[in-house]
Amino acid sequence: MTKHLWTDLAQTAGSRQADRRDEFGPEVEAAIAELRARHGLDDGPNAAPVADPGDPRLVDTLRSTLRDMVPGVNRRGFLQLTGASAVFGLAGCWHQDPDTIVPYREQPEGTTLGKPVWWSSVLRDSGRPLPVTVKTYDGRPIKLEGNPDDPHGRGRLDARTQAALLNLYDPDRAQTGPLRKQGGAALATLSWDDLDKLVGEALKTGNVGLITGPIDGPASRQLIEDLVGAFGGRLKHAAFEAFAQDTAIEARRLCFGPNAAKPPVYHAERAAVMLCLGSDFIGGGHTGLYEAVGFGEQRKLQGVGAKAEMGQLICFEPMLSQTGMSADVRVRARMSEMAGIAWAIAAEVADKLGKGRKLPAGAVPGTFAGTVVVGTKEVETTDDHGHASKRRENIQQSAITFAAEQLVAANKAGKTSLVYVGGATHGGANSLALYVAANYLNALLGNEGVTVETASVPASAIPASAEATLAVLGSCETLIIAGANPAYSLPGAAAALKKAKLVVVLADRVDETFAAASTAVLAPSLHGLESWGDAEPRAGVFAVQQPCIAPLWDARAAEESLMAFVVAGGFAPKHFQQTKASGPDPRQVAVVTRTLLWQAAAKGVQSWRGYVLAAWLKTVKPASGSPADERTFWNSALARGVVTAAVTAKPVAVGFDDAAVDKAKAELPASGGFELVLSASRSLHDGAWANNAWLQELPDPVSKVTWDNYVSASPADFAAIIAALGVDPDRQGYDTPYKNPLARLKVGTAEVLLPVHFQEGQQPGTLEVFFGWGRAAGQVCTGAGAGEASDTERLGVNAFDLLGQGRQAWGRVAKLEAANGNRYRLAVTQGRNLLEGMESGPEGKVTRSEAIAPDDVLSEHRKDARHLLRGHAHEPLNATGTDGQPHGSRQGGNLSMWHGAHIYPGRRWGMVIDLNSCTGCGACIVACSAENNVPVVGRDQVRIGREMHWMRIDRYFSSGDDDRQGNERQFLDVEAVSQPMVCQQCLNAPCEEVCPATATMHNEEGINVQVYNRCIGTRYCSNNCPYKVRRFNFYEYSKYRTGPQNSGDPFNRIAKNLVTEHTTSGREELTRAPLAMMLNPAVTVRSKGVMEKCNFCVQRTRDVRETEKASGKPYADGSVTTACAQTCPTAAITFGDINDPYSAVSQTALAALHGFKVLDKDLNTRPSVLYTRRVRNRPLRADDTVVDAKAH
Amino acid sequence: MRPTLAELENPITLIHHSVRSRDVTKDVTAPIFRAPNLTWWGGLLISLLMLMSMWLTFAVQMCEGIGILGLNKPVMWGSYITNFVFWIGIGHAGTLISAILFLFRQRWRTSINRSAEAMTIFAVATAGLFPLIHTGRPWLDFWLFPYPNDRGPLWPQFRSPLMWDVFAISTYGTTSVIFWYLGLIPDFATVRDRCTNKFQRMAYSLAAFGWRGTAKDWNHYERAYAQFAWISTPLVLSVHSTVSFDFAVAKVPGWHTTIFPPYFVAGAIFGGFGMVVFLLAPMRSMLKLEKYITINHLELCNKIILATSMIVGYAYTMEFVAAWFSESPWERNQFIYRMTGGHAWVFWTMFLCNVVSPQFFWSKRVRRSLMAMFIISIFVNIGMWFERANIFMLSLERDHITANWRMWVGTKFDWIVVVGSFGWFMFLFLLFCRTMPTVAIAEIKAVLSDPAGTGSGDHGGHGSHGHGSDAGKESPAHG
Repeated sequence: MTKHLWTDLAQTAGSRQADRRDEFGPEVEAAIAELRARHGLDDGPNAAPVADPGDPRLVDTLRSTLRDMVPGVNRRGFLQLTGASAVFGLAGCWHQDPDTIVPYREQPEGTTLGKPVWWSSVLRDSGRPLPVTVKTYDGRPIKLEGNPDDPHGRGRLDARTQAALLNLYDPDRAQTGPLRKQGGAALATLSWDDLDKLVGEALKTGNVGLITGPIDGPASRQLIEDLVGAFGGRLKHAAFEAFAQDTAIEARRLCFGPNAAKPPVYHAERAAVMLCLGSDFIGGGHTGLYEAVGFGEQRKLQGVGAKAEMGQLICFEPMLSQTGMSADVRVRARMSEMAGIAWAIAAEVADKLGKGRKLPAGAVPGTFAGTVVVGTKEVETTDDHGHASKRRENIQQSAITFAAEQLVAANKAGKTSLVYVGGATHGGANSLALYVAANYLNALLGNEGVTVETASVPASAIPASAEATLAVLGSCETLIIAGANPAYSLPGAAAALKKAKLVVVLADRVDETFAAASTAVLAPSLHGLESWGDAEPRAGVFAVQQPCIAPLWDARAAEESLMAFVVAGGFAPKHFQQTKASGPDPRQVAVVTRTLLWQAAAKGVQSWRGYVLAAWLKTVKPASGSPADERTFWNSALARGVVTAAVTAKPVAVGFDDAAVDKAKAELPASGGFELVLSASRSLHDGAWANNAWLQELPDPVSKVTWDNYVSASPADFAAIIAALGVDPDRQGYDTPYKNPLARLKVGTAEVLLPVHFQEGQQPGTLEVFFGWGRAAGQVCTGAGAGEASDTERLGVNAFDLLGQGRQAWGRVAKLEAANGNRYRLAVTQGRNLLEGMESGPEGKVTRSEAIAPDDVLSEHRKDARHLLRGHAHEPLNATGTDGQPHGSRQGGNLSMWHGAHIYPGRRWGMVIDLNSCTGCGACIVACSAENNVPVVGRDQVRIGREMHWMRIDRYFSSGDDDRQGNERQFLDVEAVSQPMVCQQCLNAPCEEVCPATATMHNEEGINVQVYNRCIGTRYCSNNCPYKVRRFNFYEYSKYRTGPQNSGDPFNRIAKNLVTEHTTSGREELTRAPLAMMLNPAVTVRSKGVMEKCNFCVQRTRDVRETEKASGKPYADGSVTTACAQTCPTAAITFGDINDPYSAVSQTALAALHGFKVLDKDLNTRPSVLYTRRVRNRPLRADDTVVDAKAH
Repeated sequence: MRPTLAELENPITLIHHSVRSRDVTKDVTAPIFRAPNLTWWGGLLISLLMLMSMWLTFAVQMCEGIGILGLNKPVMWGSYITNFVFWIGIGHAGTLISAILFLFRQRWRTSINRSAEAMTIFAVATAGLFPLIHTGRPWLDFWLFPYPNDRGPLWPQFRSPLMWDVFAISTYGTTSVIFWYLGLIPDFATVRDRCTNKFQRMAYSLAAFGWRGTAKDWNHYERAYAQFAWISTPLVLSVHSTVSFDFAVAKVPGWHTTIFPPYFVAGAIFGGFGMVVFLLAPMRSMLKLEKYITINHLELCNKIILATSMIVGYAYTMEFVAAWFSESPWERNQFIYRMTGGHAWVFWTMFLCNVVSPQFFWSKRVRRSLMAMFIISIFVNIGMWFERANIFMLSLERDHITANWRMWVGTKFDWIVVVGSFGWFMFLFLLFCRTMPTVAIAEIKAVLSDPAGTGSGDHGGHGSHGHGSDAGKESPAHG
């Protein structure tokens, strides 16, 4: 109607103007002609005759014409002006900076405006390569996804590689070209030519050490070999990684001979029973996406009813790890007991397998008292009054016997198992005995060559080694450090760097290694998305790394820098000559013609791209057996990103050498303090990407702590610490404005101050600290987002400092002393919530867990999959459950004020989330942040509960211990569930009814969408959302990089900023170039005061329709998915059209008899998200049956 | 002639019998023509500082975002909404006094109705700030009003209780202002007639709308007044019921309950009378109106406080019973949390202030002691603020999904605004005291026992023998 009105108005206005033109036409034209004549503008021969300039009539006409055109101050004009000024005044209230849009003069070939272009490439996370596809808009990468052609990654991606995008746009990268540092002098810039000359000179004499990250990929390896060859032995190369697997490789060498001395590859998907010994398979270090994919398969529940099957996971561990949270049976044990446990299990396994197997002579099975519940029995008890009653009690069994039985049972059933030891915690020599024991077990059970093997290790790989790195660092005058940061993560490296004559650092920023050296140059290197390269993630899988964006800063690929240095030094390595095949690449030329950059072609050397191409044509093409010509092969390799070749080496079982046991005697740590375990951070890993705000704000899967390092203490030890501080433990509730006690951790001579975190499930007497923090490589990791300025306010300490020279990640004795009175508030996204943590009368724990995240035991699940799910309906996922429809077992019917639900006749989007395979890793959170421009809010804001993650992972603990009141034991033997929580897209959405502005509503495909520009921010919707999935922009979060600084004291900040920067936000906290380039143009950037939330990636689902229209082909199931479902390493999330009964999501939902919708049975919200509950493959416990009895 | 204390405390005297019509005019208008004393200036300055700090906080909030307040993920409504409901509640006593007591012919209302109505207006003016300023983008608040617009056109969503609020409050505010002003017209005329200053006279002439005091004027006036009383009466019940729907309609455990409308109304009247006593006790001596606002009036107010205190006490108890009876684990947990959780002090402050402290009014001495009632009225006000906080914040702190549980912690800005809202209210009230007749002159004259000074008639006003004396005993029942 309004539109109509506007049209009419326009017509009216138009006709009136036409009238006026008619009325004054001749005069106006005459006036214009007169003006033209005066200014000497000739209209040519056809110009109208010039009127007499002195004609008074003409002057009057001109005046009246001008009056008509200039708004005078009459009543109407005044009102117009007032209205306009009010409007413009209001417009001034918008905090939107003008941006310049530069349109294409000519449209680049192959691009459609507004449509993304996908490239394939490969990125490395701590040396491990992952093939990716890169979504780019107008030449800007905006999202990374896994490469579906990668046979091991299957199109999925982990959290850190998802976050790698942010590293590309990190404003803290070196932006000004090479830097030089000499003695105590200030940093000086120098040109690339000078740099090359300087390094070239240094390379001419003396020993040269080259430290890189782990290398694989034919071209990369060939480059290293070329360099080593060209120097005639004067150049020593070592690959370094923070968690180098020296000990694991050494153990394999001892046990299986030198041929097997490689970092092993694990296949969890092939293991019916998995045993983790003090190691975190998922979160802890050496394993990555590929292992997570396999792990997800192991955890998945297959089959229905009595045929339901799933892998079993048994964990022995001192700290609660991510794997421990996923475990079916978790046994607490100290790290120092672990080798003994392994041998004890081995002894029982050998015994049970029979056939005369005996433990190797030197093996010492430990004594371990831990037990596992293996069943229940009924006992008669008599109470105080003499009444007899029956009660179920647990039957306990030795944990060692239980584990051995499970392993042997699998073996006897012809299945394989996997005994896993590894990760950051087992890097030091004192883990050697444990590795040997694990190797023995794997060999004994026939796992060697099946679930653990080295045949998949790429031929081109140069594995990382800390020992070799230290040796190189200590013996060379000139050091080139490319893509490694030993000064930060290798104890002893900093001293060696100080002694070197020249340290050449090839890194994307000034890092600890550059800072540690006395004389150093920094050759800024490119991000993986800006440069060429290659990788071989697994044997026979080759991936090519191609640039997807022109270099953002004055930087050069590390490989190119190496080549430039070598050429400048006068060397001529074997493959450097320019060949015809590698003619100049126009794109590369565009990049390198920046005047200062080294141009390979100018030196008669082939470019790094040409080098990669030549190496691929030489190695990969024949291996792949491709019959195509070279150009076609290369083009298809670039397009697909991955080339697979037949693997010649087959996994073979190898014999275990009993002599290894004697060579690997463990030195048990001295007693008299806490046993310290240093683990890899589950979000930051080794800290290489610590400046990544997405990762800093990613809650730890176990502790839910963000932004900070901390020391985890078991409940009893935590109570002791706070008792020492004189704090009443009861007041340290999980949701009070909680401040962690600060404690001094003393290890050897090192002493650090860390906040203490109460960690459920941790073995008393052990402490855990994480690597990855304490870096000084940018504003994010040095705590730019700090809220309270004080000496304790920094992003954790560097746990590598605690390693000591032997790099023992466990086995060091630590003392923990409460630092007097000081507290520190960790930014935790979720407090200490037990699943049944609600005291609610007689039925207590049952109702709670049943409504949110119920779990089950496999044996019960086989009998009845809907065991304990009585109130939850099992119906098609798209059932509306209105009064008119049958609603099966829905409790309480469907009481509703509104008659008849809205039916979505077309598509309706829905999701199934499998809690069994969710490991809580958080890849979905990062993917969602990247896809949906979700801002980072910073530590301060997380502390007060304002994180903006659209997707969060709730973590619940449940405890078999009935004594739940004031007893720390309830927090020890906990079972955990990780529950990804997205907007449930309720059919009866509570948020929609209460929004006064109609800012949230359903779209025609069943998605509850949020209309940002309608939202005025009453926040009522969030209050009424039982899932609390809505996020509010309390500040202009999109403006800040690490959250609004000093948000607790805006007065001072505003005053300061207004004076210095004429804006309310300081320059240092504003997100400007180049971070804005990272934003997904398909998603609105939200301003302050606006509510936002998960909308099932509505931009992607809208694309479906456009594609349908453009291509004429109907949408095919699976052709669109949300960012979270797309990336999930364990494939826990299925997304699709739930109106289509044949879609994967409908089928999954229908088959999932153990599915439930959160709170639906109590609140009748009718979500479109179905969860399939966690099923634990463990024996029944007494409290499982008790719960069952209460539920009915 | 100042009345003796004994006379003032004579329970059967509505207005002191010595008061004559001319005294009324003189006494009530005196503060308008008298230079304000230091106490008034001091009070004005303090309240000005308080309200300025509130407005400064609003300015910072506009620049920075509502993040300066202590809101977080589960607790999206904090001190602002608490202030809003608190102040809306305060307003109720005024309407009750001016409308319902008028209709029930409670003649004792005449002494206090003017100031109680003023209190209503200022309380609504204070309350009205908060729903507007609490939004994330206050500059777009006008989108809440249904008017033809170019956004679609997009109408507000009428199923949202916030929309009901918009209408409830704007209706209430408008009606209250008109009703109040209507009563003021004859009195403005009185002031006008006594003005000696030219500008003052001009201003009051405008305000008096040309009132001449003719029979026709009075006829119209009385009719209109009665009609507005009828219009206002349902509003006493409806406004706070509507406000309570914001919560009762929502799914939050602790909000989702049908007891809220009557409970909120009772609480509003309770809090409102607390505020009446809090204001009148000092005002009557400050403006020397002891003859008009006698201790009897205040005692009657105290009786209403006592009665409504027991109603809210009952409501508090019933909430617990309902939670227990509901068998809803969330409801039960919510109420256990209120009593024992980290914010249990909020609950217990509320309980002590609202249920326990008014019990002292059972004693007649306390009821008639100015100091005691002043202190208790402060407790009532504190208690009512915490009652709102208890309902809003504590419920949100513990909702359905345990992973979301988090506590609300106010920042300094929250508390500046809480204090500042009192400053804003006091500022307006202090201005009112000096510019308008604080007692309804015309109405008072109608209840004088001896308006012409003939010395007859000690009991009640003319035409209503015994009524005034009964009022003191019966009025709580009417309230």
